[in-house]
Amino acid sequence: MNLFGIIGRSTINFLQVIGRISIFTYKAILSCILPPYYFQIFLKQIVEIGYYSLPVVGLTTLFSGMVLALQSHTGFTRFSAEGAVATVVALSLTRELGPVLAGLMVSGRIGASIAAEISTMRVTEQIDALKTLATDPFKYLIAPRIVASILCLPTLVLVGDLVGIYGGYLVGVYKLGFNSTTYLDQTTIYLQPIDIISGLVKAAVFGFLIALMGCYHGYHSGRGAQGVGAATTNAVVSSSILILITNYLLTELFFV
Amino acid sequence: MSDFKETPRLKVTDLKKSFSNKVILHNVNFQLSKGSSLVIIGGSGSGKSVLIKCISGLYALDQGQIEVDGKILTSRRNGADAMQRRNFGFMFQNAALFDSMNLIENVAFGAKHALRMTHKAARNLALEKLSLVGISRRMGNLYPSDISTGLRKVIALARTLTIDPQVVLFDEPTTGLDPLMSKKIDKLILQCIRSQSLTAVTITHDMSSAMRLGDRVAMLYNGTLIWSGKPDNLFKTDNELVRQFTNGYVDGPISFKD
Repeated sequence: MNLFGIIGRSTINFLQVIGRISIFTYKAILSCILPPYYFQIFLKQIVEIGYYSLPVVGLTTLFSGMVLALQSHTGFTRFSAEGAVATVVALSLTRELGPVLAGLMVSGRIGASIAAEISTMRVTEQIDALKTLATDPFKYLIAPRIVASILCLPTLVLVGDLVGIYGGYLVGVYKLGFNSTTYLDQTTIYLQPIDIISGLVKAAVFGFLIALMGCYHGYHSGRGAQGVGAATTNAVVSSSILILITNYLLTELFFV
Repeated sequence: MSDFKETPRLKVTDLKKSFSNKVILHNVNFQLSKGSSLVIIGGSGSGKSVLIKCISGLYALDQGQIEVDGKILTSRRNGADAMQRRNFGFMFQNAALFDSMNLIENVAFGAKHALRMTHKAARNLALEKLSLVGISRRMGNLYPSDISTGLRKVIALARTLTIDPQVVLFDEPTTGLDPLMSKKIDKLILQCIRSQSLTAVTITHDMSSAMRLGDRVAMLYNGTLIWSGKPDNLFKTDNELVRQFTNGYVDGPISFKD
């Protein structure tokens, strides 16, 4: 096989995947906008994605906030800037760590679960059964998951931000000996609305990407148990990579 | 299958379907009147499942058209939309029940989402259809994973009937079942077809089931219908392909690679 053949075939395959994802995204967005709406499924997804992810996101951000306080204190002590610890913890969590960590954790939990569920339905012909019962799988399966994920991620990030800042506060006050009032003042004084808003916008975009990749890989899964396994892995890997790439692009957008 | 004075309930014309340049079905033509039952037999890989998925609109056609009561439902470009699919009930080979729902919810699904019934009305209709196939209300609270393959097919039959389809498509309804359960399923299918004057297309390679269910039987070979006639004539025909298939001869014009 010649080199040009390999390059050509790879390029065509890559473009085909991009095309399939683009068409899937277009149909998914249309399904989110146009009726019928399945509120019961949507509420179930809110509980599944939002409520059940709270412990995972809470624990992740709590310990991240605590580590951040410890590490930044180590660094700042070297040039006598210990006072900036609280501000750095708050800014890092709201602008960056909160959305990215929550996104990656939810991607592992929810992206995998969505892909496994939908691909199992594909393999066992339940998606075809939906169609024969005059129900559009995009509206019934995909739209509620995407909308729920877009709404849940910012809420999770908001909770994660608070828990993470509290983690930093615990370490700052009880381990590093900061005054409680001073630490809280330092946390809020330099924090601006854009810091929180940019984190929440990122979270909503990550929520969309997680659900979209879970649904896409589940819907287009191969046959059998291997197909389900591959769909789950691909959903988590692709949504994690997309989260990191989109995070940089959005950070540039919000960079002030 | 072509002596029709009035508009046929189901008409399939020049159907062609390929996957990745491999022709699976070509030049498939037949029509059925209201209340009639056609059984399509054929070996594994002959295109039987693809044929009824094309008829139901799950697959878009490459060529040809499907008509119900003279109305063209599927065209070359697209498969059927949701409203068009309401003309067809489809019973899947593996039943394809929704495993996250109990049996009543499974049967009520079509009524709730396709017919837009209220939760209560859909549930009542589901209980009615379940009782039609001999399933009690108490049993309706079980989940698909709690019941046998045969019962799953019974539930799938009840679910298929909830949307009041004009044409019912059965994909190997008795495959994988013991002889008693096969007879029970066939009896239920016949009972439903006759009581509601449904038009039915069944695909199977179970000859006993074919003889029980069909007013007419057709054989699909290499993607096209090569023979059709009354079930009684199935074992009397001179067609060598049909004779080999119905008698289960290993030697004959059908080779294993087919």
